[in-house]
Amino acid sequence: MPMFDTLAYGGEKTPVVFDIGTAYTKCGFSSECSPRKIVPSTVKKAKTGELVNIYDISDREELYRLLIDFVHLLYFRHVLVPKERRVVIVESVFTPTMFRETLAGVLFKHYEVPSVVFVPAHLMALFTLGIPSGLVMDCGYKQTIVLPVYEGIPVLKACQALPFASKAVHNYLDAQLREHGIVRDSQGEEKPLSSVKDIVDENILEDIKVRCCFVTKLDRAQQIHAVSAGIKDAELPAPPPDVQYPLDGANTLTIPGKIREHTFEILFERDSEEQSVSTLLLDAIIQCPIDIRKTLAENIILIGGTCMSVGFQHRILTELYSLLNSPRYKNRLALKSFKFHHPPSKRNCVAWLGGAIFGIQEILSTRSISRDQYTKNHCMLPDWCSLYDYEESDNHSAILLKKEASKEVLPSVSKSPRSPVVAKKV
Amino acid sequence: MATYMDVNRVQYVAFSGTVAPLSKLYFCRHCLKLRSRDCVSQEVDSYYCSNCLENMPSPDAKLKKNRCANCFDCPSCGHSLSTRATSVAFQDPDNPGKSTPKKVYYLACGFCRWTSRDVGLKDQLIASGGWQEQENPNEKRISELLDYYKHLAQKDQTEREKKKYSRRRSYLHLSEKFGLTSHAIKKRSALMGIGGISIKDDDLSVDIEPSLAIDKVEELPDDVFTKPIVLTDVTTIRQRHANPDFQPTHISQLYPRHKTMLIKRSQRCKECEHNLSKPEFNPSSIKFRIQLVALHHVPEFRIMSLPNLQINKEVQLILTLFNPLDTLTHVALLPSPTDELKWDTAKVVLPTCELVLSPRDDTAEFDDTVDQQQNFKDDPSVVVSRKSNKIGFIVKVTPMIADDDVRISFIMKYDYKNMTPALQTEKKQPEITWLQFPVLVNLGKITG
Amino acid sequence: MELHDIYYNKPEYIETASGNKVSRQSVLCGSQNIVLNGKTIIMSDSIIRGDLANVRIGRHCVVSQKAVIRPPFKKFSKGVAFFPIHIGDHVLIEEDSIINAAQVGSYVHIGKNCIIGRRCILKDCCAIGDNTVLPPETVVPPFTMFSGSPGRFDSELPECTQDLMIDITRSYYQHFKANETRK
Repeated sequence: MPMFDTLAYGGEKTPVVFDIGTAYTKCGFSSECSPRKIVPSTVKKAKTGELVNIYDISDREELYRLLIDFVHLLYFRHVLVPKERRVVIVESVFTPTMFRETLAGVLFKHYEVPSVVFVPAHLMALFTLGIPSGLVMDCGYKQTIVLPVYEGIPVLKACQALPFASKAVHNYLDAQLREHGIVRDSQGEEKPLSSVKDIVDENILEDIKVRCCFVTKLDRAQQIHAVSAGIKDAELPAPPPDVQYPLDGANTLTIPGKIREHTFEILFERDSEEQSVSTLLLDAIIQCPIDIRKTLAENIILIGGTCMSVGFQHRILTELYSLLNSPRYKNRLALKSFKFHHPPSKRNCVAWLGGAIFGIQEILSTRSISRDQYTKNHCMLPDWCSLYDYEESDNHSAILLKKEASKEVLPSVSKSPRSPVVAKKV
Repeated sequence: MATYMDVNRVQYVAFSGTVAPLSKLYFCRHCLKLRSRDCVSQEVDSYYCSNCLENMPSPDAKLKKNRCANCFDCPSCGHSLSTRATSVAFQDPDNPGKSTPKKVYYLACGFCRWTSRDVGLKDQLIASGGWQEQENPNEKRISELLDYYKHLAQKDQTEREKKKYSRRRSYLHLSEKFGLTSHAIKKRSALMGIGGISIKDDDLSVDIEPSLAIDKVEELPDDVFTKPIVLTDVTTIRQRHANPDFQPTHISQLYPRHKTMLIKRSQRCKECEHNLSKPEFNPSSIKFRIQLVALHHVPEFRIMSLPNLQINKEVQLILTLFNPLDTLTHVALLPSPTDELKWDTAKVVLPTCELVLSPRDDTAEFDDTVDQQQNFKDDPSVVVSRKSNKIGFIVKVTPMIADDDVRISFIMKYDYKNMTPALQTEKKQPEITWLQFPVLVNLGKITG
Repeated sequence: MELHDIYYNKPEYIETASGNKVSRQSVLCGSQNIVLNGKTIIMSDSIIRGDLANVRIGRHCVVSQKAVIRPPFKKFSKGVAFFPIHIGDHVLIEEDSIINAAQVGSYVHIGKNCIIGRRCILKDCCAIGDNTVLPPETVVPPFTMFSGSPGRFDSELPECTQDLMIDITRSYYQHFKANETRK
């Protein structure tokens, strides 16, 4: 049967790999070192011409239509091959069910691809390293998700997530600039940014963040947090130099050094539940059995575009050591060292590269859902959190999707947008 | 043209239910249906470079990663780079002290003035090509990983085969029907184990050094707190993403990228698999080998003039109808039976008589003898104007909903003479078919 | 939507034997070097620089208000040379655009306020969005729309672009009527 599969689907054609992120989509071919293109995950609405993020569309029919447009661009402008190739979709474990079902519908029904496989980004990150276990943190646009993987098995019950990532940074930066940003026009007149109407959109915020802002060092950050908490005698460290940022031909925005340094702190500030991006890592370790904790702590992998920010990785490392001594973790974790992996790719493309490595495998045919199966099963997609086994036949496909549905308990994360389907009792 | 005229006012409903202006639809003359983007399959016909307009055969394109061999994009602004020639004095090795001028070439952007000299690329002695390609430093490691996982997968596969075979003989597979057996559980976790379980196998012929975790990460440079940023030296995110392998952060690391090709597409009817549109091979050509666009086969409606639309008040609306066929065409308008699309917001009174359209005549433009007006015996209360293959006629509209666009719909029925080539060779009389297409019209907001 | 009639003052326009309508308010420099092939409309305040090199404009073109058509130049070591500019049939150029191209094919639509840089080549059946800046020597292939600054590939045009452009330019000409009742 698999032999027949390979012949029928043309085994020599390399699959296409899409990593459709909440901000940027990486697309390319399996077995290549990097994606062909990195493009914004936005699509133009036919009627109004406005650009919308494909994850912001809540109406199923509209999403179906716009995903056709979006996938069309991916196929005919970026990777430049039509269908007839297997598709590997790298997805976040929290991708809304509606989104992945609609995407599968678009690929199978409209583009008539022979097979699709959905693979979780966190697991894929390990494929780029050649290791079986690791603690993977994906810090992208909307969410930061930490998922431990042990011997190739995602430990779902230890999964941790926070809705803080790049988008939160942009929002914070926007609020700060509105408060403190000064715009100088061509006459040299200075006025607050808030008086200039809607001149700073998210693209500009992202550009300011990428080019001017950085993640500061822990000791300085502690001073900053002390000041914002209103502790007496606390003083802000001397801020870095201001930046003159040209907005358009006439206006120049002065970005105070303070904002450059403080912007990323939104990710590291503890929220009401005492959680921050760095505590996620430790919390995930705590949720894991004691005998695998050391392995996880010494195999940390940071992926996602936000991890590429200047100083981000170093800050995580120093925070981890400092948290170990905090009362919250001191008696609960007996870890001595943290070690980080350096994947053979830029951080924002790691999950894609994992998918590209995974896609080369001959077993892809047995692990994808083929179009036939998809139609036979009434366009149902197996979900990672349902144990519903729909292939009673001797066909081995579609196992992949259920691979995470091991006997692990469902994640205890309340922020998950996907309501877990009740698992069939084993 | 789509970029100039408001073509979205009048839309047609294709067979798949997609609503689109006529210019975006196809007409399959084999199944006699309107086809939209949703019921055609698209194929890549040929690859070409948008700058040098040269075709590239698809195996070559695959090899070159769909990028043009000769043209480059500016890494700074994305415009195409052009090759500049200049002469440089070269020292003659035989005769020191004497220098000979030599022609050299470099790449320059005509828009942002970036040049290949800015990043220290050496000038080339030949006009095209010769530029060194950037190589991904991780290429070797990634191909090792690929080999390794490929090997694991094969092993996994053969093991699975073996197991399947043995189970068949022992009739164990029957138990699968009664829920999950250990086999089923194994199946679930099998994939996940691909990196894990098998790694312990000692008999692997291909082995790989697992990545080594270290306790050091990139540190924040100390001068970040004191050194002012030169904004023009830091790349934008767009510049970074243009080069996914390197994602340069400083402009000194920008490197010209080969231009991505564009493609010519052909469309095929999903039902009968006939081609609906197939462009000529030459990238500069605007001709088609096959072009079955709806505009050539279906009479087109347009709004001639918009009356003052008032709620619950009947107004006369003039629509024009245009015959693209070179045969006399009879058109009847029927009310749409059910409003499935929830489109209508107004009552409409359609002309009850048949509208007759004269055939299209491309020479009419050059013919200055104005009126070869045939006798059409038009009802003057319906048809208000007639000019060659185009008429204007009256439709009465009563807007019903106040705070919405005024929208009407109807069904157009016309006689289509099927001129498929097969029929022509048989010298038969062209077959006449009556076709029906739903038409949706949006008249815009209520004015008064 | 059908185009509406556009009226002009009869004395303002000169109509030639081949049906060209040229505004008296337009500036045609070196008119002996300018060829209009018929039924072309040149509107007020537009400038065509025939004094620099030959300008040939095809049939059924529209050059809107304040558009500038100027033959491109190239710098050589011994000075500057101007090259002729050819514009095909059924080309619509909207207001305030500056055309320095070497060649504009047929059935081309150039939006408002564009700058088409020196020696650009616009092939047949292409379109340029409003406010686009095409840098010198840009090539625009058929059935593509370029927009932005620098202008780059934005979207594809439908297969029937040719028919649409013929239709537009023809009906523009038909609806461009003299207002004879005014004094």
